[in-house]
Amino acid sequence: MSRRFRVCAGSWVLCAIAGCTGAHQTADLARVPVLLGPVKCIGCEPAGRRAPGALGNTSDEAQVEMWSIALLSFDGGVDQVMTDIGGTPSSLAKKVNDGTGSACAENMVLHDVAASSYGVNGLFFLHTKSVVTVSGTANRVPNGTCDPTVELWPVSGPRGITWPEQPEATTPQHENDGRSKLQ
Amino acid sequence: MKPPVNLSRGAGALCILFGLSSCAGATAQVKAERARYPLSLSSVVRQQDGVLLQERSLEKLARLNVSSNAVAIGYSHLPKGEVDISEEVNKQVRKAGGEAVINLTISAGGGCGFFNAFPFLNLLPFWPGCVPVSVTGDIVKRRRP
Repeated sequence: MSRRFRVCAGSWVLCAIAGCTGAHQTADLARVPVLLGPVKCIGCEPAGRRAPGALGNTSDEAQVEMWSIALLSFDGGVDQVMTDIGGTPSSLAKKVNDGTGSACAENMVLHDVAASSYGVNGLFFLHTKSVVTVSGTANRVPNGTCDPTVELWPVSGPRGITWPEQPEATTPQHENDGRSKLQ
Repeated sequence: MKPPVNLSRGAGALCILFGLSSCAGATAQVKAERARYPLSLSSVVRQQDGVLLQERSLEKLARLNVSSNAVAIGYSHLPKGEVDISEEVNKQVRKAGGEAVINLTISAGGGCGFFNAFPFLNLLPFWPGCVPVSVTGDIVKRRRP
């Protein structure tokens, strides 16, 4: 078996291994429902593709890619195989939390979800990439409320850690303390 | 609106760039147009009266697992695939006695992905590229007080 053939075979095996590492798109830490499909709530009938009351758009891309390059020695043999696996994890939850106001009265409805995968290879290199892209629109839910018996998650933002029920204008306690000291 | 994924153009450019190299791949739109249950990528979902239900108000019944492949030829250009998970979701949720799916995760990669970098053969324009799509989540129903 020639060395070049072994390099190709090795690349193929590496690709198969890299194939096990896929790109994942989720929003498990989002405060609002991030919906795929026409049904917007438990017990609801399927609704139209675009719900009324659109507030703003959000999109996100999660990807995983792998580069593998074989370095040859002067005698034609394989000196070294360099492999790098990297990518961008999903940040959909953060974008949804940033792009929605009240967790109790808004939904994020996804209208475009695409998954892609490709591989490029030559004699001495291999590149594979998997991508999941989503885009959606935040919608106001006219009768949306929070379960009064359940405490909502806190949200970390420019005003520090706040609770969704907390009114926008509320000043954090530590800021009050600072002001009183200055006075 | 910006196209969701522009891998085909990128893959083609890479092929030209590397001359004798070869490539394959596929793109698929993931749809659930005929789903009869709410599918949420987050851990919360609403009920009909608009109340937001968190995980602690929901009972996990089973794990949703849907896998599918989309195939393309012509160096990933033909055709633009579509993966519709509606029927499988309806079947699994109904079987589990669930009312919704939360923590939905959409994944691409693994499985038939090795076709995309199959040495030499993916030089051929009719060699199939493939994107394996898997969708997982938690099938839930409301907790009774």
